[in-house]
Amino acid sequence: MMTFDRARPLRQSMNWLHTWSGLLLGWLLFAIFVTGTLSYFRNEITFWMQPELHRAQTAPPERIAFVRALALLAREAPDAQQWTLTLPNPRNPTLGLGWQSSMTGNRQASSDATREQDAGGAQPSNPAAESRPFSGETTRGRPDRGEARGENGARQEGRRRERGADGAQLPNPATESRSFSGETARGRPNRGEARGESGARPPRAERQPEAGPQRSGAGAQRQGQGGGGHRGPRLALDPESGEKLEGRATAGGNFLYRFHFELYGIDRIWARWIVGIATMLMFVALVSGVVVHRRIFKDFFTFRPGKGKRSWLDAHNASSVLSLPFHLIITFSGLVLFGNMLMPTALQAAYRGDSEARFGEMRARMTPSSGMPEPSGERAPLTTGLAALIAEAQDIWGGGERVGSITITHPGDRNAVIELRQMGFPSLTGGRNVPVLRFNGVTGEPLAAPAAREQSVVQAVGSVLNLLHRGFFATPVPRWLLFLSGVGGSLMIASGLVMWTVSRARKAPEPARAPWGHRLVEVLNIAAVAGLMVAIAVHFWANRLIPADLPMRADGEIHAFFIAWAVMLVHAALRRPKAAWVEQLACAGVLTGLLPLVNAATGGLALPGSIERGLGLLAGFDLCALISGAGMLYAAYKVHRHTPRARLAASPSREEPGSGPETEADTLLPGTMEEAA
Amino acid sequence: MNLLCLVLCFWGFAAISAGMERHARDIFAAAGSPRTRRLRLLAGYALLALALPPAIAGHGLSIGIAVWFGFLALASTALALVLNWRPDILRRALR
Repeated sequence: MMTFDRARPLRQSMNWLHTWSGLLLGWLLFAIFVTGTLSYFRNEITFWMQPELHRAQTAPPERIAFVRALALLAREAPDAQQWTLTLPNPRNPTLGLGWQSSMTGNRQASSDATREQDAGGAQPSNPAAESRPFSGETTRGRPDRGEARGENGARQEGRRRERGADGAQLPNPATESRSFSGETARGRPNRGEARGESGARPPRAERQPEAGPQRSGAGAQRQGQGGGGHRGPRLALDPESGEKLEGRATAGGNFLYRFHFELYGIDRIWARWIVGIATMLMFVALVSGVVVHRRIFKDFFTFRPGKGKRSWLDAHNASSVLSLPFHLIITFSGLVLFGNMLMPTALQAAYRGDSEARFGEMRARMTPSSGMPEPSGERAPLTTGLAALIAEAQDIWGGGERVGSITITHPGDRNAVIELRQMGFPSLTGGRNVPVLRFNGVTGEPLAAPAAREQSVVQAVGSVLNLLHRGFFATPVPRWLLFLSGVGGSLMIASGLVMWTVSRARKAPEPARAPWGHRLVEVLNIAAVAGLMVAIAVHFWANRLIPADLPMRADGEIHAFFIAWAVMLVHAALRRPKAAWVEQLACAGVLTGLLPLVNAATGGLALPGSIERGLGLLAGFDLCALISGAGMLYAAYKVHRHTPRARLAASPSREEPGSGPETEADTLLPGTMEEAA
Repeated sequence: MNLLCLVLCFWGFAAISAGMERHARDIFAAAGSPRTRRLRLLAGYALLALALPPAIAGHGLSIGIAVWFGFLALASTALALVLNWRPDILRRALR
């Protein structure tokens, strides 16, 4: 431990700061990074976790069974204010149906939802309020974790209240009773209030048990890559046959996603504070790491394998420096997403805790008149020519742009309006303004498009950071780049953690005599790095091994994750470090590597089939599992074969320095630092 | 466009590494004169800059820049691996 009784060069102080800020919550940061990285593919993960949907045959718009889909909607939700059809897209080959019963689910709500995301910078403290694309898959028949679901209902309630307070009309409150989400909303009015004011939210009360399986809809509107999102119940159809697909209840990729900023099982506000503090420490570690790394340019590409501590340092440096822009942006934008929670004073000062005033202002700013007509009350059949409208929209947009989702407002009314949203985001800077075309729902005639929402500069900056962090904009290539950068970040944290022990190993060559602090770090390293990998693999296994019709199975999957992780912690504490590393890595490697087989054996579409059918999302999952499984097995093998350097200290050949002066690099190591001090 | 961007990034970094004293020695055994190295560095930065337009062409300005950063990270990691395990690939390509 560094003493503070005398002046030190900047770099030494920074070195100390880097070491300890990185270590303190490094284990948590690793888990956040890994689960966050996987979240870039949470739709794909969710799809993988619902093998019942795998047989969906994706189809071009002209072959989609719109007639059957609309008939189904008319049967399931005849009084809905709004229907939404999410067209098959690369991240989900099914046709998604959703509907909204109350006016909250109408145009207004979707702009509310988009407003929240647009608000990025201005209203980032409410990440829970963000949307879940494809939530429909996960929500169907899902006995949900109250937190994920209830809050949406509650949010709607919150919105209704806001609106009520503003004197806005709820045009059709009676229809709410038909809405599952409406039910939830009314079930928990107290939470609604809590959700409404994101800045100064009181700690959440005890999680309330949900009344039976919930179908209330998740997520706010999300267009783009994810296709249109929905608030309300959702169904998945086979696009071409129009057949309903019943996916199993699972939290899917949303569990990992939510874990990465809300952890699990503890109060959400506390969890976010913890994650926020960890993020801040990450930022501190990044900046101090850059200061410490004095050969940042000279050693830019350097990696010297097989040299013990130096190799770890090289690996740590390489994984940090080579994707430093990503690390800085992801950490900083993560902080900005938590901004209003971590730094509430600005909001307090501006609105004096009056969240209504704040929302009112944001609404006024973000949602210009929607231009949506009121329902006439006269019935009229909906046009059947959706495919023709899609073709028309794609002609108008040109450039190969495709329709992502179709929203039908006031279906069955003479004033029905059909909106076609473009798939994907055209840019990072446009907020959530996705090109939209409107048509008369009865005649199919084009109508004026809604005005684009304007953003203030603050909102624009926040929105860019928000989009970057969450990758809404990302088509496959950017998404993979984000994912790979996230993998790099995970490796950076893992190598940093390992280095803490490696650089101290020389002092205590015998594990039995290691100080308890070193032992503690070692155990936590093993459980946090290798153990997490086991836990994630077990989570996926549980998804397939827990019977699909078991009640509360979604919770079972999550519990399996934590039980496995706890077992790994105990295992790491009982075994000698090296054995624990090898066993856990091997275990994670085998479990992960076998996932494609498990997938094939438990009703999923096997790898050859998914490649043949061009289902990149499934093939990608299975291939990633194979590759990462092999990688972890290789790591286990390397650790197994590894001979601790301390015992080879006598052999000069291994000490032989590489080209160039390396003593400088040595001073960067915490262990040697302290020796020098 | 993506592939072009990635390839340009990779060879840009390759040229840059060949322009750095230490890595030049890894690749060519000799570091080369400062003038050669400076030329290599310049060529490398030029290639990296040239990788930006294809990214923008493929993804639009704002997303293109983000993608460019992503490819820079990917290419530099790939180069670091090649440089340390198979420097002969670079030697043959750069000479």
